Amino acid sequence: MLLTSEGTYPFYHGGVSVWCDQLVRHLPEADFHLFAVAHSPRLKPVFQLPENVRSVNHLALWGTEEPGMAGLPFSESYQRKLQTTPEVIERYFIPAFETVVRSSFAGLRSDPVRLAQALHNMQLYFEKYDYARTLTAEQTWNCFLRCARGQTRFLLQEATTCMSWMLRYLAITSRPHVRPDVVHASMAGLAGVPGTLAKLRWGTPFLLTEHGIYLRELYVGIEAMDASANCRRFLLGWNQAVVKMNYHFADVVTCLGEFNRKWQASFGADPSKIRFIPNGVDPKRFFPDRSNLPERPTVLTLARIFALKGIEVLMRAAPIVREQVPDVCFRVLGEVADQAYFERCTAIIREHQIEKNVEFGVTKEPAKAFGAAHVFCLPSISEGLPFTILEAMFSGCPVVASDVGNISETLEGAGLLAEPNNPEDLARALLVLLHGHKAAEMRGQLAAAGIERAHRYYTIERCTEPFMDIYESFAECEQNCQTA
Amino acid sequence: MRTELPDCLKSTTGGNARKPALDVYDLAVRLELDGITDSVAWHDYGYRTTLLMAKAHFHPPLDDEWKEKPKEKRKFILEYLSGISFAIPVLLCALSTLVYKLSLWGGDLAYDTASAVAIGTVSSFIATGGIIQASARRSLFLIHTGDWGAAADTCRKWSMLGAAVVVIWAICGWAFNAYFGLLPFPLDWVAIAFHCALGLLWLACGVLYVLEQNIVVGAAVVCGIATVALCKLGFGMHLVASQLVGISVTASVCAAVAIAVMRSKSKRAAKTDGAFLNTRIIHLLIPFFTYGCLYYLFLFADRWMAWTARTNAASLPFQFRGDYETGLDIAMIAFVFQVGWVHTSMLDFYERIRTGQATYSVDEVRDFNDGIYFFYLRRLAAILIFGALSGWLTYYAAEHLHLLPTQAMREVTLVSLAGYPLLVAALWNTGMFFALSRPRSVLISAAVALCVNFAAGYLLSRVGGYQQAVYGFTAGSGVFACLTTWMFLQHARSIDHHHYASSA
Amino acid sequence: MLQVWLDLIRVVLAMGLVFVALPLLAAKAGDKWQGGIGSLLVPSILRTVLAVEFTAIILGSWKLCLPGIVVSIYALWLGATVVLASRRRWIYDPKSWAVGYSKFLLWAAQGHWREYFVARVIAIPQASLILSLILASASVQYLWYPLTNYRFQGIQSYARVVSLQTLVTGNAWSADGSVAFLAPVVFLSGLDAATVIRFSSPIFFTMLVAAAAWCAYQYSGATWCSIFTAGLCWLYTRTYGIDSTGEPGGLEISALFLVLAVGCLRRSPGYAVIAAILAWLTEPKYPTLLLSVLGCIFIAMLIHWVYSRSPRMLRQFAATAFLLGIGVSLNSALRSQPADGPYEYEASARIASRIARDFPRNRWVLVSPAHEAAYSFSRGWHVELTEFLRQFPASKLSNPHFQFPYESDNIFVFVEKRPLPQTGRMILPGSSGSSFFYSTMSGRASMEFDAARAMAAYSSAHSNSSVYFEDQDLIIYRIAK
Repeated sequence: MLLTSEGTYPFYHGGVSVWCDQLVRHLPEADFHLFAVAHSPRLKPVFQLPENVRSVNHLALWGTEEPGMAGLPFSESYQRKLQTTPEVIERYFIPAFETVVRSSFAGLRSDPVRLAQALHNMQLYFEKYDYARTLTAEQTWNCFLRCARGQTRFLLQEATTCMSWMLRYLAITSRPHVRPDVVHASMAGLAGVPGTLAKLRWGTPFLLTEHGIYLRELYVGIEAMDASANCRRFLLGWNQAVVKMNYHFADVVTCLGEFNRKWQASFGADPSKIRFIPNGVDPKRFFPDRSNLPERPTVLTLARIFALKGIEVLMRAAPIVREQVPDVCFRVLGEVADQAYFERCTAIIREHQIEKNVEFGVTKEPAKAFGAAHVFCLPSISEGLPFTILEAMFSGCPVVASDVGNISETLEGAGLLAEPNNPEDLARALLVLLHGHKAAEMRGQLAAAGIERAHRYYTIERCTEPFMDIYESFAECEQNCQTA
Repeated sequence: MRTELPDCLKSTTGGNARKPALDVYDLAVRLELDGITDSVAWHDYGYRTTLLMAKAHFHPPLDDEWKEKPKEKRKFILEYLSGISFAIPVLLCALSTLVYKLSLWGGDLAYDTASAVAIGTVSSFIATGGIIQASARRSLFLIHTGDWGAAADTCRKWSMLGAAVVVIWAICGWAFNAYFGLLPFPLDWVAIAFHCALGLLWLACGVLYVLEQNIVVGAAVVCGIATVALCKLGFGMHLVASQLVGISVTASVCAAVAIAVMRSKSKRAAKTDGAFLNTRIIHLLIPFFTYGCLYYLFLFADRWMAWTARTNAASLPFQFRGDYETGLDIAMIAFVFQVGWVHTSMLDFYERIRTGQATYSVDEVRDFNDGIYFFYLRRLAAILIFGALSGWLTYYAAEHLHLLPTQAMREVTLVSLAGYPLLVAALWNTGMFFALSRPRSVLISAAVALCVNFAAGYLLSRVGGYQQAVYGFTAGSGVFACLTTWMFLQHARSIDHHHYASSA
Repeated sequence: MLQVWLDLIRVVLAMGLVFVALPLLAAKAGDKWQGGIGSLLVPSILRTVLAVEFTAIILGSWKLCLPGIVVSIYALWLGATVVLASRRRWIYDPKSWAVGYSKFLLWAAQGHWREYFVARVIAIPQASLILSLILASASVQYLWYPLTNYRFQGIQSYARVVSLQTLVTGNAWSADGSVAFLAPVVFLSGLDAATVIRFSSPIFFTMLVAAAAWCAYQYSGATWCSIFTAGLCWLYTRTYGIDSTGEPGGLEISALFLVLAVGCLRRSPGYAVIAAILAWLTEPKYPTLLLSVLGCIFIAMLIHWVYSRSPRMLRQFAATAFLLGIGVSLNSALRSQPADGPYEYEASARIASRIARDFPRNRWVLVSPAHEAAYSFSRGWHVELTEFLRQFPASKLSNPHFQFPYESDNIFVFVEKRPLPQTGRMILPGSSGSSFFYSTMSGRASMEFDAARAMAAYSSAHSNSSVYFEDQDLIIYRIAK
């Protein structure tokens, strides 16, 4: 099994990383080779890798001495450099590159088959020739300029920026892989490209799992990017083309709920390929234990601190809650992923003088944290099916969450929903569970409903077994094809 | 039904800071983030889904209002001072020698001792020059990627490697001297001591330059010179011993500040794992290492020729020539003022590229390249003219102050003043080639210039007088400048491509 | 004694590197030469010696035969050798360098370099072993004198020393082909000309024997013929062959090149011409030694002709008898003509060398008879004794206020307690002294007596005079500043 990821397992924490870890641990009968796209070459895995993980292929997009370092001995790398002449580039690389660039400009209008073929040709090319020398060659640059000339006034600065991005992202075609039986991508973006290429080259079955919707999350972040419209449009177009291509070539696309399915279909996924496979949690790790519940009303949030998790919204809701529940404690446990965002949150705390009501920290024992909270709150702006909500449900901790992603389908009455990005509505929902004579009763009801629902639909077996079934069906299909 | 539109559908002009949505899906996502789910879209606005609502309200943006953040206004004087700060330590030492007859190295010494000190000084530059260039390149790359942890680790390991090279070089030098019997005891140990002490000092200074703590280097040098003065004049120590103490103090101050600054910057950095030196890194850094070695060989080649010319009757095979050195020191004053242009010109060059790229479209590539090309020629002319003027002023002042009593000194000063502007032009070209990650052109030019320097200096000093070795320096500088200029002009026609390739 | 052996090693290493090892490596670096090192050796040596000779002569005539320029030209020569030894002109193609570099990286990465460290057993044929032993023994016997003596036996050696030292210090030099090619040896060994000349003598004679053996092999194709030739040549050079001094001059070196020319004539006439040119450059006159060596070769070939047609048992007996005979003859070898030296006491030469080595350069003055100048040239200052006595007679030296006008830290005055017995000796060419004092007993005695008197007068009036060295024949005074 080739399990691919981008910015997640095994180098970063997060929901997708947790899911990947669960998958490899709970399918010991399958051998996994990891292919991880990360942002730095000097990262160490933050997860203990089980024995059935045979190899980790780490592609760093940034921070390398040369882009697209293929992990080869330098002597071979150097020989490739010598073979990479301008004539070779012009003849064998430029046609494929032109297709890729034009597809990026076309975005969702691009032809996924042509794009896949072009990337496949690049992959074959980079088995003999050098990546850095090819991508920084003058012919390659001029080819990009040629393609950009058809667009609305494309500045040289924009061309340089976009080409720098291509230089990094196309490195995915230069990295050799083992030939797997199945490729399982944990995202639809760059992480899905090895699946498409394996499918094209060897007919390898390709399974694509999405937690958050890759393109949707890109849209969330792209407005904040400090780049011109042309650059943002180009980046978007590239990702749209890649995602569309991956959807096209995937044999099965899994999602976490109807919300995700809707977006996948909008972006070109064939609805007949889409299957629902929710996330799961190990009930042996997360179970109700209220013995450490403090006196003080405690609202727990378990999330990394960055914009999508809506911590700022929670901080704006906190003073409203405090007016009614003066001794309320908001515990936010998670790494700071965006320092500037964290400082905005702390500025709000200072502004409203709620320092005594807010705690930040990290925990290595989330199960205990749930046991020490009256309410679990997830004020995210964008989500798929967050593990923390499931863990809260298993732990018997009533949930208040913003109505984003698949959360409403997940809770289905076993928690309270609030409008996303609306501090007042969030505060209202929290006060239902923290203030008033019926608050405790309400908490109890929601907790019980959550436990029941979690055990019925969201155990880890429910999460991993369907994937094993898919793997086996692929294997059967392969055998049948060979027999035929 | 709501009549008030969500925030994301309000106008993007008139003080609203939001960028226009790129497409329908972008708008749909914004609606969802504003709390407009499918059900809200249906109940409050009458649209079945958020996407349909976005389709109804989306308008392709007419204009890209995005503007790059304005850069801080540049201050020429600060940039100029930053440019000359690299040469400040050497200038301070030269001035101190001229005025007070003592410095971190050199001064009022017997000829034999001065020769040994000179050999140790020159060898310290050559031994560490390449290491410092390679280390700086690698560290700056890591700092640029934000990996302060790896940068600190790299600096530390390269400094240790540099120290090892200094020691090995000293051992090899001792063995060479033992075999060929060039310097008798104890002059050989004087040379070794200066080589080791100064070598460690240059390594520490290299780290400080990477951390942009140029002022600290100047201050440390002043402390060192003060220590020398205290030891010699206060405690009556021998000048050589005083200088070794002074150099040790300077090196210690530089090392301590470098360690402290590195620690503070890398404190919060994650522990990372990466190779310090493997074949690939060596391959990438070898051009810079080679340049460092070639550059210092070039700088000292003419001195070497002058010191070894006509020494048959001397007590050592190389004889330090005080008047030659004084002539060069006086010319170096002009060089220090000229070299400030290198840094400002580099920044101007990049400013031109930045503004040009933000102005010209992909259809106007030729205009952009031509703009850079002509800017380069204009600036080159300015550097040479400034060099000539400052050189003339320096010579005039030196004559006026009777600092050039001998014909040899005058000849050396004049000829080196003619050479330094050319060297400055070559250094500017070098800086730009390195910034564009094109070191090969620099290496070829430097190697040819070095050969010309050696050959011309050798022949002229053997046929004529020792002071004529300086013609080798000027000829070499001229060749260096011409070759690098010619090569750069070839690159300038496709600067758009080279700028992109260097950002890789 | 250790110092002497170290000096020998330095000279041998320097000569080996300059004329043998580096040129061979450069020639093998190209892909033209497919044969073994044996077939490449002599041509490589001849080419290199010719190049060095021309370079030194031309530079010497311009007073530019100095370490930097000679080393640079030699390096260029090696580079040219590599280029000329390559079929394809890959040197011009930068890409070839890159390909070579990448192949080197592969070779290193795959660990092929370990093959060079694997122990191998090399089979040496018996005849080659015997030949090697003969050459080794010859070189050991030739080395005996230079290892135990500093002084030279013949005036020509002193002249060669002065010529070589003049050449390598960039002074006005009159061309002497017998020393020109030794310039890089002086630079690379870091020694003075006297030491290089001293230890190159046995090397030249060993090479002469080896050259004769090689020449015989070229014409007979038989190693035993070479053995016979080597034995006969060795015997001849130790008895009759050397021109009286036991030290090679231009004629002997010229003979060596001519023997090589004869050897090359059969297969490589071009190299024969090169060798002949070298012989002419070294010494334009005809060397009589050549005829004798060729005679040894001819006799050896005759012996071999008989040997090869004899029954096997007889051959072994004959070979053993021949080798024993050579050994016995050498043991009791008599010189046909005595050397024309000695020109100084051994102690004089030894102490002069020691002073030149131990004291700072150009900070001392040697006052002695002319021949010690060979050891001090360009390392210190030398004043010929009679000249010194003329300038500073005893009457002047006895003045307590007298100070020597020399800008030096030490003055060493050599006075022979027992004047060197000599008649008909030649003075060192170019020396300022008069030949009267060097060619007659009375002249020498008179000079030394005046010197003794002068030093006695100086010592009685000054306290800075001390005895630096004294034995039964010689006393050396040291006058410190």
